[in-house]
Amino acid sequence: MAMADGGHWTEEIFLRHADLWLAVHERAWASGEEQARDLHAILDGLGVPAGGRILDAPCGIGRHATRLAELGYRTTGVDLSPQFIERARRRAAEAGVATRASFHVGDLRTLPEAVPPTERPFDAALNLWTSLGYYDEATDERILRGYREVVRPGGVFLLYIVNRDFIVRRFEPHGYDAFGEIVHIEDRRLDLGASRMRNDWRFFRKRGPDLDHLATIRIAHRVYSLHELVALFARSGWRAEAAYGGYSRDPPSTDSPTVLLVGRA
Amino acid sequence: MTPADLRAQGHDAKAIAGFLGSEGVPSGGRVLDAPCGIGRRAIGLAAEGFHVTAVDSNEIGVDAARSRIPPDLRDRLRFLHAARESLPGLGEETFDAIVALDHPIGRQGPGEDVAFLARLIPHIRGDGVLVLELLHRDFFATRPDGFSFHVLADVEQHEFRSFDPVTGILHLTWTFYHREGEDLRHRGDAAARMRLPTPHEAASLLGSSGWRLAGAFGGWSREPVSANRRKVVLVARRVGSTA
Repeated sequence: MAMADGGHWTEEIFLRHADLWLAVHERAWASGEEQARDLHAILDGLGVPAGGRILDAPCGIGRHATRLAELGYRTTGVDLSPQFIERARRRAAEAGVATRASFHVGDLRTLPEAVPPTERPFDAALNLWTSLGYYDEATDERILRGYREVVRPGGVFLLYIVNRDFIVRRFEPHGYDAFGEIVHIEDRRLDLGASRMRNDWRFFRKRGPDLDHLATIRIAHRVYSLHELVALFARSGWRAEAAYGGYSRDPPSTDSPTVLLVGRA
Repeated sequence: MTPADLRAQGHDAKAIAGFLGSEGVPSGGRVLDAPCGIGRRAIGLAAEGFHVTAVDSNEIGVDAARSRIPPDLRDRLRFLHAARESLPGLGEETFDAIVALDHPIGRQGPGEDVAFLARLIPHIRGDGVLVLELLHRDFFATRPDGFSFHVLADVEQHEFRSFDPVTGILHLTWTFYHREGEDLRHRGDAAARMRLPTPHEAASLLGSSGWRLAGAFGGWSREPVSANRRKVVLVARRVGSTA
């Protein structure tokens, strides 16, 4: 979906207003520690123990990639935003894992181009925090093929993404989030004809009790039911091997806000 | 602008009128609206042709409502003040329908709720109908914490809710902003705290106050009661009535 100025909403949020989303990433940073431990356990169970090569794309500011490097993996992070990548490199240096965690600016739609040949093939690739469905379905398929291209045969792919069936069941038309001085208000619409969330995101800065408007961004992203993801995996060269409701590996259900789908190359 | 003002924008008066019609009280009937808040629905129901007596314990709200009666509705709409503990505080008048909207119970204890509902009994004609609009406990129990916003003209209201399933108490807090371009200028805050009964508990309150539950709906279009609907509309008739 094009914005008035011709840019896709991902460019609006991740490039033009990267400072706002950077604040979202910073706030989420702490949650990466436990999630990385869960990911480690999952990867280990899939035959990718510490020491393996992991691709995390999009990686944001590296809240999983940095932690996985701390746990002994060699990680490569890719993100569209130069600002996030710069922050990820600094965070990794602060954590003392700069030699095991590398970060590159790149677009998911041309993922193989973003990954240096010296860092591939990967034993596992990760797409976390609902980072698929931003474009059309053909593009999603192409993106998943991109992961397949850089993962070794027998390697794995983990997709952690919002569960359409949960959204349908427990739809919340509005959302509110505050982090630091930033307030984020969401006006959500679920377009059932297209299985797309169409949300207006308004960002404000608190000034005393007032809210100064910073940006309004209209986002549209495809939300998938689990069976659609399984089919999407099959079309793009991944065999769906296991599905969970989240990092804790509960069975997926309509009560799971997310699904974690495991693909095998 | 008060929370009740924003919540009850009066836009559903036509739907309420249709609902009353389907309960045997068509346009032209006599309706008591208690408590009426600042009277948006009362004005709307009068505009739909009902003869409306609207009562509230908030004198400022009643005065504001009175000052806003459109001239063409003056002959069939009146606003009265009554103390909360004596609401509706009328003489011997009876009505074809009584509407008690916007969750009029649960601010105090069940005893006060039963007393309020019992005080309505003398004001209903034999087979008249009581329509009680409540916030639906099951909706909030399945979404205990949440946020919503509403915009009316240049006012934006932010509502934060939290529901305690053990006490059954819903806390609502509101922040009101004036929209200036896309900026929001703070204008005020308000809060409410109320106990939400399940529909069967509400039926029991009605039973203890001389009413008999005659129907339960998820909204004014007679939708089924559902945990996905924010409100529940209960219909009651006087014990012993044949309707």
